[in-house]
Amino acid sequence: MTALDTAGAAVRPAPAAAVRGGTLVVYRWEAAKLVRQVRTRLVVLACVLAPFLFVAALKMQTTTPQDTLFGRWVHDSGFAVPLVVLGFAGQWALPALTSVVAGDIFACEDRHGTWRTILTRSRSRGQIFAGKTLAALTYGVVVTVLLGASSLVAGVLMVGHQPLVGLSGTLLAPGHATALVLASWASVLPPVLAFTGLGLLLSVAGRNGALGIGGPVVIGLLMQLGSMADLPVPVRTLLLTTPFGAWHGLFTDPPFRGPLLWGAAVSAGYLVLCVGGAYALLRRRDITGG
Amino acid sequence: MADASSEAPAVAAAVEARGLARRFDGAVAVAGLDLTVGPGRVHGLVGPNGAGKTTLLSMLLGLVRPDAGTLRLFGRTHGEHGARARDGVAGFVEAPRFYPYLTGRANLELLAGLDGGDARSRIASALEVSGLGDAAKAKVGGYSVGMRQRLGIAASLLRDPRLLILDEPTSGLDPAGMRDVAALVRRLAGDGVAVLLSSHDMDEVEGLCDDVTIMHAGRAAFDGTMAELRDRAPAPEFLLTTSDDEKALDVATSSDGLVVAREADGEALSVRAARERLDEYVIALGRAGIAVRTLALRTSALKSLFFDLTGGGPADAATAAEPTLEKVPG
Ligand SMILES: Nc1ncnc2c1ncn2[C@@H]1O[C@H](COP(=O)(O)OP(=O)(O)OP(=O)(O)O)[C@@H](O)[C@H]1O
Ligand SMILES: [Mg+2]
Repeated sequence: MTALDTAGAAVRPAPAAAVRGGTLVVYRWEAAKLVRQVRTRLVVLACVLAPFLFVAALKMQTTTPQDTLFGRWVHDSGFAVPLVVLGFAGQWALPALTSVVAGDIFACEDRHGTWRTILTRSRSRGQIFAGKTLAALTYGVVVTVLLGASSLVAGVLMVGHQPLVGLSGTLLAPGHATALVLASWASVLPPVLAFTGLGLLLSVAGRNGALGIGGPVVIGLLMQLGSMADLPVPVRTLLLTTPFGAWHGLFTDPPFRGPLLWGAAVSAGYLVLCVGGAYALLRRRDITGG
Repeated sequence: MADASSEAPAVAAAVEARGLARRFDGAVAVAGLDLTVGPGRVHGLVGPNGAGKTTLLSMLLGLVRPDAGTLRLFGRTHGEHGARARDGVAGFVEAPRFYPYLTGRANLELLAGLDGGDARSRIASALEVSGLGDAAKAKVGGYSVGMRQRLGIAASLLRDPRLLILDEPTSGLDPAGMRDVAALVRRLAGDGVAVLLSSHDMDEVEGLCDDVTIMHAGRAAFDGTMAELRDRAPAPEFLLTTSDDEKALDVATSSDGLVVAREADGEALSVRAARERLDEYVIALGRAGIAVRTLALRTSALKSLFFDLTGGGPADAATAAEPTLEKVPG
């Protein structure tokens, strides 16, 4: 009986609960680690402050960013501000911001040689991977939400809540404009998460933070060049940069939402492939040296 | 609970490896190794550089995947039980690594968070045992090798292990640190914890371990208890200088159980003999009118055996000359 007790004492709770609990434990652990990192905090701070600085800079000049959608309304309606920021951010800033964490979240364990430290604790590789992946995805959502909310607040506070002229020329009342701005920002979450997945994959595969952070940005820029070049339509619809512009359809009359759905589907595809690939690499990897 | 008895037999060995093998890019690191470590045993893994010690320990810790063989830790396998195969298993391979931008204590807190359970409550005692002292408040980036080693031991103790795996735990430690590690290992073993530790140094292992596996090129050149190893040990090797080495060599040829050879540099003689035979030889030298100027132990009996088994080191030439040495205790 005593022998059985001893054996029983070593057995953890039911596996399914332990797995879910384990992922959550890793998620909280990684979050605690990220919160202590200067880089992560700086990016969050930048997301909050940058829109205010942007509006302040706009107010000091009389010209408007004409080449951007809604650019010419930035002095007339505060709601144009978050849309102009979204136009810029979708091109490279959001992929870069989310990659700051995603691109380094696995590579940092290589840099510090700490894989063998964390993989010899009581969590499985699957749990470590899932927890870290969830933390990176959360960070992607957080920076997007912060940047979007801060741009909206900066626009409304510093320019005002005048009605916005839609793309078909109709005037959008403040309430409607707010809803559309929020919907537009929400619509870039899928591609942001897809770029997060790309960062995760490069982080695992490259074992190098610079590659993980810079890689998605470069890939994003290349895709953008591709979308400007004369690529065949099927290829163009598969580019991860296209969903960043899908929100334009919300501001036409009548709105067309097809690109939003298609963009979300393409983004989901990228995310699944990248995260699946990253896990396949990490699962089989031997931890030696370093 | 019902599955506990079937998964983990009542007296499962801490480690039970059979035919464990691993290659890297075609080069053999571990070649079909058997290893059993019982509860409360201190098991030494000794071998020269590249013998495969770290690779073997990495496989036990689930860091490196074996190409072949079976491995059970307290009756559980990595394949069937995942992370639970490491329940009660702690340790590190190569120099332990931590987040350099955090203090030693913050690193332990982070790891305790990963472990969950009551790991956090063991931080203070683990730090105390590790002897890290005030350094625990400093950032790990500024740690010396020995301090990191101590933190590695503290991190392992957080898991309240029943099997402790240590890869060259005393490398980089000062003499006091080595003494502390030896005392800790002894104490844990007294509490029934199985300890598997690797080392280059036969002499270090001799005083500490109950069992020993001598590894060479991925294989076990010896596997047994320390007492069995001592029984197999050849004569120790001494370095001798005399007033007339030429004549001293002549005196030696007429004796059994004694191997005398000229050192490569011609400056001294190497003598392999049991203590009694050595006494006789020295007396014989005196009788022949040859003065002994220096006589010093060069390689202890166990070290000699280690070199014999692993085919390296200074004893090589002497062994080759005389393979049929008598057994000599100690
Ligand atoms: N990641 C790796 N890639 C290629 N070869 C490897 C790798 N890890 C180990 N090896 C090889 O496997 C063999 C055993 O290495 P291992 O590190 O296990 O030896 P060791 O006994 O721990 O040596 P040391 O005493 O120097 O620490 C060596 O020949 C080594 O070159
Ligand atoms: Mg080694």
